[in-house]
Amino acid sequence: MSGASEPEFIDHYAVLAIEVEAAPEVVRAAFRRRLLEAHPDKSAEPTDGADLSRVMRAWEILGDPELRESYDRVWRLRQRGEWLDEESSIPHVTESDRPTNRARSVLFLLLEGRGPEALERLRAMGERAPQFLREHLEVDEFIDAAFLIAEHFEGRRSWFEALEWLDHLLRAEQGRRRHRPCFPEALERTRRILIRRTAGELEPRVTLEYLRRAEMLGLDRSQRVEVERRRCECYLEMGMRVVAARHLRNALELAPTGKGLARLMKDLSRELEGEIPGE
Amino acid sequence: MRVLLQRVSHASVRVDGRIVGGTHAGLLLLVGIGRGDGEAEVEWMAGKIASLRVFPDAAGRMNLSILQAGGGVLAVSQFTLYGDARKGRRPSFVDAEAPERAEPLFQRFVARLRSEGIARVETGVFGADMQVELENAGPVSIWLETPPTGEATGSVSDTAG
Repeated sequence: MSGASEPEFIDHYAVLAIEVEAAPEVVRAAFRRRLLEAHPDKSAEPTDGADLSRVMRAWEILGDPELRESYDRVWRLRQRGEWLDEESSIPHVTESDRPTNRARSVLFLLLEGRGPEALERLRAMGERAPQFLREHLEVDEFIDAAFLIAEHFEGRRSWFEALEWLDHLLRAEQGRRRHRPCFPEALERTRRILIRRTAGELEPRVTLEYLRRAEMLGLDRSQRVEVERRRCECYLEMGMRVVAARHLRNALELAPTGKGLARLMKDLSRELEGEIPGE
Repeated sequence: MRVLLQRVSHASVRVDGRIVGGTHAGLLLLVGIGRGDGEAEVEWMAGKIASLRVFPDAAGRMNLSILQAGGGVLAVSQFTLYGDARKGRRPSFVDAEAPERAEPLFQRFVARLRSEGIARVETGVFGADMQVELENAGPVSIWLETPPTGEATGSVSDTAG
């Protein structure tokens, strides 16, 4: 590997002189051997500290299963990228007609922090962009790409698009024994968008359906309070005061002093008195 | 677009214990709007339902459409029809249309059913927590799904015979 154009990427496997497939014991053994070689006090050869710090850094990453997994993916991508194009310049890669390369170019751009360009590519792919990426990337790659894409759309407040990509991500994660590290965060973001994005912007009926979808992803206590409060507001707007009061009661049961509930209690005082949930 | 059609001797939908829609003898429709559905799908589905022969004639055979039998329809929107549970334990709803697009289409669908000539078309409340009560007649339950895009537009004339 030349690595000259991107000095920040270090090939830790080269540092330890092992293969990417090396088992954890092999990594550990290689680390100990290299540690002896690189350590100024232990080494037969005179060394500067730089080699030692490289070895330590390599061990930090490759010795930790989770860090190693994510590092491996970047490592492999770079291998492939360099294989596709010596200079690893993305535009060259993408001019190739091979769908795998076109799909992967989006992921490359995202990993390099070139989100706007990635989104531009996606737009050019049209409506079937998610299916296209799903077909031509490895599952892990697809999940990471979807997460990064959703993040960009969220940043632009394009909620619908963000939600769509998160939805694809969650679907890809379904039934997998090991989830990608971004999975819990993706789930959380999906819930958050479903619950909050609709505040005051949409018709109450539409908001209600978003809230139902959020509920299906599983909510924690504070989210349940928020969902019940939002439902109360929706039904109030629709003039269904009794139903609104029922949801307010649900919220109050979970959080008697929850945010924004006092005002609703005042609005609905008559309905709240009318039916006491003492059954 | 997907519809689960059930022939009922009565059906009602309640929100918080109150009946907001109901029908006597007729059809209960659970209606799911899929991603990318439009006017063409709505039209196709409404036409299909209006002309589907699922009611018995004098001889007891399933020979009459709801227009001929004269029953009512209760349509309830239901995005969970697009739940994809092939993998894992939590269904995914990625194929269901976003609520803000699904709601007007659902209303269009109801309007189409009316303009097909069905006397009474009632609905639940889109998005609300609903309790649906029904008594299956027959029972007859039919799963309807619009053909893939392009075929539902009516531009392809089917003259094979």
